[in-house]
Amino acid sequence: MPSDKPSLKVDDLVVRFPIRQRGEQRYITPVDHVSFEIKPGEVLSLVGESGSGKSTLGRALVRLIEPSKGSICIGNNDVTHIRRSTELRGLRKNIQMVFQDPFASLNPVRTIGQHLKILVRKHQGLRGRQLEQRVIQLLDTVGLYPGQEVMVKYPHEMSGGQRQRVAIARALTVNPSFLVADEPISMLDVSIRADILKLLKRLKSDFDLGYLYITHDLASAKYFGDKIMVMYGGQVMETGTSKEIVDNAVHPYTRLLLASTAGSPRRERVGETSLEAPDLFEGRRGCPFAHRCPFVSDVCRTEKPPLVEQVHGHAVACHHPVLGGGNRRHDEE
Amino acid sequence: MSQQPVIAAEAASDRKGNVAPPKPDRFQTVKLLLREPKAVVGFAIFGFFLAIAIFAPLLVTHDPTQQGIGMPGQPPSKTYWFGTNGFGSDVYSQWVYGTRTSMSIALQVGVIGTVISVIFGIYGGYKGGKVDAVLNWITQVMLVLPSYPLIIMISSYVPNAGAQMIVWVLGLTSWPAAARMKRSQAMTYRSRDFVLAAKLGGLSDFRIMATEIFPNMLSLVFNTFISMTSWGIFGEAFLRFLGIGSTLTPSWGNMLNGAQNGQALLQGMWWWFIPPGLSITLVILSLTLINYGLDAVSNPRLQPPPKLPKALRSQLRESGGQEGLA
Repeated sequence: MPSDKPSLKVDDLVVRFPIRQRGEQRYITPVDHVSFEIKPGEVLSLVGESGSGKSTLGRALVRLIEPSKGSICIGNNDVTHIRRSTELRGLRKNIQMVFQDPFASLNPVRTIGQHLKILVRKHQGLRGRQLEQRVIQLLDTVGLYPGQEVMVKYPHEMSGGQRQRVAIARALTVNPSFLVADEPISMLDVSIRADILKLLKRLKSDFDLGYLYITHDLASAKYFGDKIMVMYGGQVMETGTSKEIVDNAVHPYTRLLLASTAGSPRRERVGETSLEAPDLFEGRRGCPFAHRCPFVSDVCRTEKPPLVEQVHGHAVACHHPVLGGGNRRHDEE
Repeated sequence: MSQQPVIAAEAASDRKGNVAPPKPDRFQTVKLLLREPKAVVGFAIFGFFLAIAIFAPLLVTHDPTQQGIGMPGQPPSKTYWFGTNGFGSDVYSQWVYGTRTSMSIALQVGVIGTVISVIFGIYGGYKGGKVDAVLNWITQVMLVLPSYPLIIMISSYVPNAGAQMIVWVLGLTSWPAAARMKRSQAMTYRSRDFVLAAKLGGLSDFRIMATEIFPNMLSLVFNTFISMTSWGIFGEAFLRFLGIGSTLTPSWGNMLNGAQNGQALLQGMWWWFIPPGLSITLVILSLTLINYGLDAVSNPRLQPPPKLPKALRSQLRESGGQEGLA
């Protein structure tokens, strides 16, 4: 679908955090040379376990964190290092974020109406009756009605799913082109997760929204995402279309994730060798997944595998990809 | 409820039977507070003194500043309700006007101290970095300066310090501890999701502090205001008692000072120092009680478990089932 909206391009992005260890200044790199592109109306699912850098990447996109290297571009507009509040405000009209925890992302002492009104007034300059109409309309968009009643409620009077809908409505107040959804359903009751995903899906087509959908659940990533990017230890392990990743995963880590997904046809045993968290320190060598990989060899520990395109649009960073894919089981078993 | 269910998919978890549409209950806290006996007693005492302060001109029986109205040192009588002091002034009228002076000084000190502590605390705590470093440094310096000698020194350098001077001296030395408390609280709010979301919404720092952080700290702000006010009452009495500031204005501190100089205690003129002394104690007590009440309301974990209705209790006792409810 052709669109006049710009696309979001991330190129070779690095985020590092300083940490002090035994009096020595060191850096960790939760996001390590990551590149991707999201077109308007497209969903990129970012999958990975805790500590894989997916949330950090999301926060860097809305510039709550400033990246150290690489670039983030919206259309031709480089927003990697903007600092001025006017510029940041401009960026945030393009990208908004939905947070993971709907219980923490709404101010407990303000009503839903106050939450939305202040933003609508600021960005659309509406007043009085029109302002109210717009807020009701927004609430209606996210499936909260009657708006008059919802507006006067405090967050504690609502359920988790309702709050998450309010958070989504708040993100929509600026008419963004992109939404970073940071595990929007992981804190919700299982019974309403699908509703929220359906809502996000509807908004995608209604507003031509592009998403970076952060999750650790491949099932929802497949349901919602057009493309899937698997991250581990801050690096991209495998990326491709959702179908390709789920059906023809070739990276051992992706296979591990698939095997751990409930209801997946690939409930095979994977020979994991360790349960340790990945080494995130700057200057690490080799593949971050090496210490857990069943197919590890010497080259994995010394050389970082490049992200190589296997089939069209399906790239893998692995020295020993499990080729031949399909539903074949690992030889080792 | 004849209206549509609130949310099609999640209505079940939300509908509360047939209750009317919910309204924001702005007075919920006040209502809770009025159910707290400590707070009610506190408010009653404080209200009493506040009323005296407000209606002082209507309540006096004599000119409070005039000396030699009657014989010096008369005990309470029908003409002089609280007796007369060593200079022959009417103690009751002095006490009424003294209430006005002391209460107004105390409330002003409360406002000044609270405003400064809120500004320093929230701004520093939210901003962080260099701004915070500077503000925190100022706070620390103020905190380590011994306040009593400082107050005495400042006030003694100001000749003939009036009530306004005392207000500023007390107000400007009272805030550091409260500012630090607010700073640490603001720091915890700085990285909460709802503050980040407001930032992403493009709200200015001032807006975020005023609309997102400040309302969350209201109970702390009230708490500060109350302790600052009680510090104002005490500080005023303390300064005047030492003879700092103009001794002509009737105030509780000045009455005590006069009683001390006029050797009221030696001559057994208890009616001279009991009214101001007792008033100071009562006002500070009332403020403390209000504070406790606020604390109990804002921190429900401090409250004892609710009592069951009497009928239910005796029923349980009969069946021997009350152990589980202890």
